Amino acid sequence: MNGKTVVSLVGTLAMLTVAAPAHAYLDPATGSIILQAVIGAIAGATLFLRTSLFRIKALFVRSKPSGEE
Amino acid sequence: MSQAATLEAGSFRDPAGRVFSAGEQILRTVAPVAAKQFAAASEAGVMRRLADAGRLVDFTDVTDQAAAYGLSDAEVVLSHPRIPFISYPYEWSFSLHKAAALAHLDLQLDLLKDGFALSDATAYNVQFEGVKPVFIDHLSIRPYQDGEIWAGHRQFCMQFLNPLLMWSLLDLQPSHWFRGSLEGIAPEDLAKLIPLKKRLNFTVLTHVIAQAAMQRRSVNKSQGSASYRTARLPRSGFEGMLDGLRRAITKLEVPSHRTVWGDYAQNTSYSSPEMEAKHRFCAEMVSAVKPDLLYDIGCNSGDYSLGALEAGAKSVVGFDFDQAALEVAYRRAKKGNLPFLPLWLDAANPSPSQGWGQAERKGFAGRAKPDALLALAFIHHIAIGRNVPLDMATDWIVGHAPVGVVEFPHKADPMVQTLLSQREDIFPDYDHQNFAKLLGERARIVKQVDVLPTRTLYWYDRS
Repeated sequence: MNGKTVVSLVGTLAMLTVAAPAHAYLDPATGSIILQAVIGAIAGATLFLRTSLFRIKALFVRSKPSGEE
Repeated sequence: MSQAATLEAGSFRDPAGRVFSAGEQILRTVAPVAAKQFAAASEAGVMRRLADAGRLVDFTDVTDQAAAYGLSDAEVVLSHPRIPFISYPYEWSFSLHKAAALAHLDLQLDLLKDGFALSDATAYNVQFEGVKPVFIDHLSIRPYQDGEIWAGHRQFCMQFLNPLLMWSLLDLQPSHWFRGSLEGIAPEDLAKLIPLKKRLNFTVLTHVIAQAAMQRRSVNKSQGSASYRTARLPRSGFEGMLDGLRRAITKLEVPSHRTVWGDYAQNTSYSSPEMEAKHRFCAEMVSAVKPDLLYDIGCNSGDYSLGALEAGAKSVVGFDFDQAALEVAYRRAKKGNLPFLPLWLDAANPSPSQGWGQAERKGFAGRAKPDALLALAFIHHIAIGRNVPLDMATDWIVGHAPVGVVEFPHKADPMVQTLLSQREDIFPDYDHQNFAKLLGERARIVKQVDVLPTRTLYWYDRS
């Protein structure tokens, strides 16, 4: 199991325990909304780390010609 | 000269506007209620930039002619070029679906940089020019409000992510399911199919399993547990989700398609005299007709579609039942940047007219008006493979285009014998002389040629 999987397992458990307070109406996308509230933070952090890592790497590694991955 | 506009039956869900057809033009009205958001997107120039890059269907403001079209109530009227063929997600191959999903995510990410977002995530808003995805709904573009949740997330999952996951994780073609459920595949349903081992993946665990669990939980409690209006998603989270999905979808592939391209490259280095004769015959018809749109029914990997383009067809839509062949056709179209769109079709059960009023999504027949067609090594699949009487099969093919080339493999042909090897021959009418007679009753036979002793090509014209 890699780190990401552990994070997502923890996230899923967290989501199941922190179910948001009930409101008066049922939105058909309620699962999606709760999910966004929880993984939004994880996803944002992941993207931030990825971008930062890329910048740090760029300091040490000579840049490849554009158009390559 | 402008002519009165008729409403397109598929455009009613968004109160921001409607789409109309007027001759060769497609018109879009912007309702007063959406005038402000439309003006914001216009002034920021985002739509123009996307249209110039070929990612959004081009548009011209024709509001000054609104009265002539009978659309005076509209705040703004836009005119769009017509897309050669409107296709639906349940007709897309895996690669087309994946390209559409990535195009949607890229559009969201790029719009966000300019302070805009898409109001929904319906796959029906993506169409194809050749195999290049193009977004068709200008009115989904609206200003982004900081912290707003991704309103289209569930829809994105149902119409893009879940079909792709079903295909790649389970090696199951989602088209049949999607066609029966036009809103797509719900996470609650897909979650039941994914085995434990395949759940240990961030995308699957969060967007499918967790979302399904939360959805079920709140439905079971029969009370909403999250409100669209009060929930917040920070912009960084929104971008992170879009970026994460983009990365995950980029990596998806279908296990059973993996070797197809390699096999194809190895097996097509030769060209038989029969194939050359077929190419010559089709090219002769195509260069005489010069079709704007040609259907290649039973296109396989697109050999004759490409031939038709070379002979002067402006655009080709190919149809086939074999997803692996469609993948090869997709790659060829993409590589050559060709106006060729290969789509999935079960000719014995083509896409029906369906959705609201049974008109929202158009059936296969009559969706476009091809000027010509090719139906090569095809008719025996429906006449023998699916028991369609030969006269009905002929009617079906000839009904789609005024001119075309139909190949008739005789009963003695190995392709036909393969189909007959597993069953009793209950097809006394399946005979090349009978076919020539049936075709002659429906159209003029311009020319015919035997490309093999057991295969005859007919060029018909009923125009």
